[in-house]
Amino acid sequence: MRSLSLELPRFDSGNDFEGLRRFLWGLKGLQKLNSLCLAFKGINLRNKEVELVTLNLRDCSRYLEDLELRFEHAEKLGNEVLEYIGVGLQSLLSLKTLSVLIGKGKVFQKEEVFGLLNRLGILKRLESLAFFLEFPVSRSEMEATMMQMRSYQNLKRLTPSISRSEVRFE
Amino acid sequence: MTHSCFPYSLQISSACYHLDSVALDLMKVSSQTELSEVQIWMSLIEKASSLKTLHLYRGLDNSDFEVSKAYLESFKHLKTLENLTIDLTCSFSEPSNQTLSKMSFTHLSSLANLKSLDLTLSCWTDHPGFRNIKVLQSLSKLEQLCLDLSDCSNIDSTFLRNLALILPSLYELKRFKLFLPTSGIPHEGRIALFSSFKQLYQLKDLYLNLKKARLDHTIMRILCNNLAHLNLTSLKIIQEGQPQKPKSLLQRLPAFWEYEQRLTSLFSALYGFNSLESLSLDLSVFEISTKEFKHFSLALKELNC
Repeated sequence: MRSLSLELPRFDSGNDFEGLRRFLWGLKGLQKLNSLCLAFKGINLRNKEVELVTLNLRDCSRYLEDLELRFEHAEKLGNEVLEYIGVGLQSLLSLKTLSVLIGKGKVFQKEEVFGLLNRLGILKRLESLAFFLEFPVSRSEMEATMMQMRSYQNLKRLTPSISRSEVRFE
Repeated sequence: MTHSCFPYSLQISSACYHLDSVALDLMKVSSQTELSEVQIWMSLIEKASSLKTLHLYRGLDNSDFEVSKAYLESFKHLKTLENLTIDLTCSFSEPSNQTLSKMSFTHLSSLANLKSLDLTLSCWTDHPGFRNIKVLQSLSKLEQLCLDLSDCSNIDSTFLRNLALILPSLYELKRFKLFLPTSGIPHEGRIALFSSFKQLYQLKDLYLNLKKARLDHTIMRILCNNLAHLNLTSLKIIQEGQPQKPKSLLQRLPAFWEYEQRLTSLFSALYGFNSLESLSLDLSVFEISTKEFKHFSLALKELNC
């Protein structure tokens, strides 16, 4: 299988993370994937599960070119989640397109976001990057960071669209 | 294109003699368009001896119903056509069996070379009728079919059973895209339709948009059992709807006694799709148990072979 797109179902009981963890461990087996989209629409994830998502994708580092992750509920996520995401994704060296959404209600510090972007500097084949996050930042700081990213990556689509509530590169 | 620019369109249409592909977006054409002008237009199109692809976005309005009929009738001349898109989204509401019952697709049966048909009948207040749907039987070279019945009312079991009878006669069908109505689809009709899928032996790519239709585990099992025998390379199943609020323990109790959950049959079917290259599932309106999650994980591992 080359392409997988899943909008995951909700738990049938309130806090059943056991099944989800099993599923995420299963991602390890999908080593030939070219494109993956995982959307967690009805599940309120914690840091631990987000970390599992990215860590279990490490074995896909050979072929995975397009990755989209959507964590639509962010109430239970701690600020360290961006570090977990960064650590997990930086091993996906084949990535060309990356999109990560963390739902509204979670406001990050700019240092955390810049830390994530720095980690992703290792993805030299990246051509398109989109982050849907909420954090306060000045336009000049953001533009400076993006210029820096452009200088050592192959980014073709990295257009800033900055508002108070959302920063988006595309 | 608007009514006022029709003379230009006639000039353009003279170029159709040499074109092999034409797209007409007439969705915003005034409903007062005169039949004679459309007939001239279509008579020119008919002479396009090398036309292979035609996309017609026409819509269906009560006030120019005769014009729409003229368009459909003119298709009988397009013998070389291989790809046809017709959007006849209905923009008027009236009691069924009035105007729509007079609409005929039977002229499409002349298009013996058709390989791809995209038919949008969205918002019809009556189903297209057996006479019309039977036209598909004559299109024996059809490799790709998109049938959009979203927001249609009065889709009854008989219609779906007839569609189920006709689909297996499309021996070459490789890609099938089906949009079912949001609601009101009878249980028996869906069973008949999904049961016919197992006879689509050449099918590689299935896109099934179930809209907000309620799926119980029986329907899901029938759908998946009938897909399991196919050699699909791409499967996309979409069910729309808003996630419900989490249930209380008391509300969840009945599920503990359910022998089979709705997703179990889907995950079991995945084991059989050895050729699957692309899988897209929107399961966000479903609830899943720990056991089913484990099942899903194992099925995905199988697909990686």
